[in-house]
Amino acid sequence: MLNRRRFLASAGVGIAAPAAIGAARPRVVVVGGGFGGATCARYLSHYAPRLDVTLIDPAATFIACPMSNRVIAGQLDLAAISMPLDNVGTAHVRTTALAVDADRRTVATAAGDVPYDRVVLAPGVEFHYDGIDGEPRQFPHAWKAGAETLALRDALKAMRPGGVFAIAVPDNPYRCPPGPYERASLAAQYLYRHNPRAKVLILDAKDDFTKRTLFQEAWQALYPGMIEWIPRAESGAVVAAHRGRFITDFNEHRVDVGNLIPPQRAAAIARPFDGGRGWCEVDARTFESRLAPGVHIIGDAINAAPMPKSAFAANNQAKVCAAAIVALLNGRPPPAPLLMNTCYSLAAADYGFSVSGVYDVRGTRIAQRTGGQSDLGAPPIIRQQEARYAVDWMHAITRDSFGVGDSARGREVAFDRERGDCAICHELPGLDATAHGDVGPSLTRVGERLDARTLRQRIADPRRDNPTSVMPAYAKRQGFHRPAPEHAGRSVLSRSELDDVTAYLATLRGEG
Amino acid sequence: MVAATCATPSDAIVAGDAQGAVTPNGIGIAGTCMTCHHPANTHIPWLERPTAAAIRAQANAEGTVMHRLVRGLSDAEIEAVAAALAQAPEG
Repeated sequence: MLNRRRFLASAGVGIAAPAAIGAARPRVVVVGGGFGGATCARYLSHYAPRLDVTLIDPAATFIACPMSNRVIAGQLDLAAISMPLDNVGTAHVRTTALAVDADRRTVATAAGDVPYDRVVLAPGVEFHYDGIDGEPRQFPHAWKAGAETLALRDALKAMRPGGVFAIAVPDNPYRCPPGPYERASLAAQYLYRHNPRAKVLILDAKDDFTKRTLFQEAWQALYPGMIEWIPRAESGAVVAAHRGRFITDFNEHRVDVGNLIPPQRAAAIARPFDGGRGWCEVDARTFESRLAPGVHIIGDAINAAPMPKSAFAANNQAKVCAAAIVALLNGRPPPAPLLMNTCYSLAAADYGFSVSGVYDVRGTRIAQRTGGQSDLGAPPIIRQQEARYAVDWMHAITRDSFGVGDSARGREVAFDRERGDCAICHELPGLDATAHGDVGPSLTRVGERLDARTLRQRIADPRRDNPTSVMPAYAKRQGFHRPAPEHAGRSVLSRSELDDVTAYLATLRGEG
Repeated sequence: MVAATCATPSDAIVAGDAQGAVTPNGIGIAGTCMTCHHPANTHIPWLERPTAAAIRAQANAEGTVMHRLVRGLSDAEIEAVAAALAQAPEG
């Protein structure tokens, strides 16, 4: 059996050369714990376990933008899209990265300078309001998921009967191109049921958008007359925003709940590498900056056109970047990259469609090989299937990027008498005193007491920390006394279930 | 080690036995597969060590994204990703 290092060495991307990595342990610093940064940190550690990989992000938890529109529509809790970064599996320095000194090869942070051999910037976007007068900042953008997502959810819920929910959409490029239209759709799904005379107004700074025909087909079928899209050519671009009003070149729109998604550019730490264009240019074979050797940039902060700015794209670029860095540190040419993207969109909780593409690198730039979107006129069962795929995709990519389980599934396992059955010994939220045991401590606030790594270890093998524990070792496969043949060599929980239960317990913080 | 604390299928691929013609390109494409395919999924199926022929057949499968993606792969890339996925243990 080959171990990881020999496997990768056999594949030509490994770290077999001790002179390169074995002696000095080169350090790679990753700035930003989103889909790009977390994935890159994880895969660097996969590809080269002896690398010194440090993830810098001030947050303990990353809140994902994908599926955040479902939070706004009241279909999910914020916890369902919250990913603790302590499962990424590398050192995580919780501080703010301020600047990169490419000559000295250091990252200046609020906690001091961090040296690097190579740095990966995955900082995402920042917003600007150039060209929008008035008080645009008073309107939540909810384009970075978190408090503004909840604010928009609450405002939508409280909107007066027959009110107008207006979304101002910027011109390209911006993060998650289909996101505004998915948001309009899911808001309409909520309003259709709870505020049926309400209207959803999309004021757009462009004349077309990705999956437009699919969205419009869905709107006609699901919410006839409720959603109005006004393109730039029909005075859709918002040029000023005031309390209760969005103003375009020729019109003024009354707004009960306003959602202004501002124009975007690379986040501040990457701006020195954007050449004044707002987005960073990279060599797509390695995602190394064209302006600063040793500085790699991935995700929404770069111009990766024709790839969109999506979570899938960031995750994919991160893997290519990680493999390239390991090769470069070994003095080898980077593997030839092949890139892909798939973006699912939901027009309702059970109505989805997708666009996808395959890309390669020609010279140093990304070029599209093939691509396409879901068929127009597909039957409802196909739309339902793609909606289910969208949910599965979210589960898979968050496990892949952050190493976390799915808390909703973990809750099912924790309560399932045939699997986790945590309640036989522990108090869990929502159970009265007669429905749970008390051999073990209450778990209702366990997420406050223990981090995810410790939680996972306690579930997997509690005797590692406490040799006298009577709790079963849920990941143990061997050493049982006369197990039934069907259970021999099997653990109580699979690895996936272990991740899921860990994710669920990590959310138990006594809130709500 | 990441795999010690948070196992995923992608851990499995990079940590698995290398007994086939596994190439960096194959590993890279297989890593992309893991963005959607996971053994705990309910609807998107886990990749049970698909053969190159099985992957190629997805080019004609309508109703998913797979036909769009597989049509973008060369024969050599399909062979490479099949070899890489053959190393992945069960989830």
